[in-house]
Amino acid sequence: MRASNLVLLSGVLAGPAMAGTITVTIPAQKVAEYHRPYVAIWLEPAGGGTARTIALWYETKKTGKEAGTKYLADLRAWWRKGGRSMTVPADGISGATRAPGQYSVKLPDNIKPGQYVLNVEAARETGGRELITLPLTVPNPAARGSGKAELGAVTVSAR
Amino acid sequence: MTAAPARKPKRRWRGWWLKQLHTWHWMSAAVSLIGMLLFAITGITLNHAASIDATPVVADKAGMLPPALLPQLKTPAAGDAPLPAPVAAAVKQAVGLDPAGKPGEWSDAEVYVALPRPGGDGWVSIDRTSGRITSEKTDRGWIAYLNDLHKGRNSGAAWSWFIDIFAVACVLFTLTGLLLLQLHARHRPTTWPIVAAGLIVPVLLAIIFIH
Repeated sequence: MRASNLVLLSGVLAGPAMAGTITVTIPAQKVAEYHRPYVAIWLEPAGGGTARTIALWYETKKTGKEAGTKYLADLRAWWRKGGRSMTVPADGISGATRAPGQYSVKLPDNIKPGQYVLNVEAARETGGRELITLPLTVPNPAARGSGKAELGAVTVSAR
Repeated sequence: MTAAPARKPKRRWRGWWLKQLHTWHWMSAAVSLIGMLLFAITGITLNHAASIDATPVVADKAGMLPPALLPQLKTPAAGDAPLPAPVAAAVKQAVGLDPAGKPGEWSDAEVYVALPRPGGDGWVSIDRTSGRITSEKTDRGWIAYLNDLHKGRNSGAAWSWFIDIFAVACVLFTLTGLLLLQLHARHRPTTWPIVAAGLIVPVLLAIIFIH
């Protein structure tokens, strides 16, 4: 745990400033009971290693004991890869659920150059779950993928 | 005397209807009342789900797959193939969760089996190279369990059939009840005003207060 924290810290502190944008499309669903999906976007080093969550969309407006975090475990892949040990809400990562449409998320500037796997996962109440994985190179990330049911197009550009 | 035969059939029909409706009404009631009580109560607990506290009990467990079984994780039959039976049995032995027959998610590094349950959640993950098993089981208590049964969430096909059949029994119960009200309405002048109020009040509430 401590070692991985060190790795994370060095990742935070090293590397030149770079930019990149992830664009995620949430498709409209033709269902009688629609709930906006929970979405997690995270990076994993290509050879395995500590996952770094970039964005997490859930019901942040909910209050009470579990304050919208109750169903975060439904993002099963993210939960398994580190979500369950993460403290939410997390500044700059947590956000409210999004209605169908296209959304942009900035890649953090301090990612160390190297090979990564970008993961985008969506889980919808009374709906399904989908995970998209895209290989990614830093710097100059460029990737393109598409989901079938819960996610639409996912693209990454270096701008 | 001459008018009687003309009236008789009508009365006989009414008697037949009453008998039929009573039979259907009491039988659908007998079938559905216990369930209706449960659904009414869980209707309240669902309506206030956010304010009813539950402390989820999370149990994380880990174990190892016997090395002899590792080759069985090399090539899955399909992308969502369930775990081979001996592997599933070993997993159950190690962490107490039974993944047998459930679809697995095979990635390069691991096999993940989701085990959602009403009122809780569970999953097991097996590393395909080392055979390390990790699992998590969440239990949110009996109110969450009943709430999920009400919604038919993660409760399986048999339960889904049951709540559909139960709902049909409820529809029969209410419709026969309304028809019986009509048959008795002549002697009970307040019948229709009360029934109408039961319709008008929610309609007015919806129009005035839901925006």
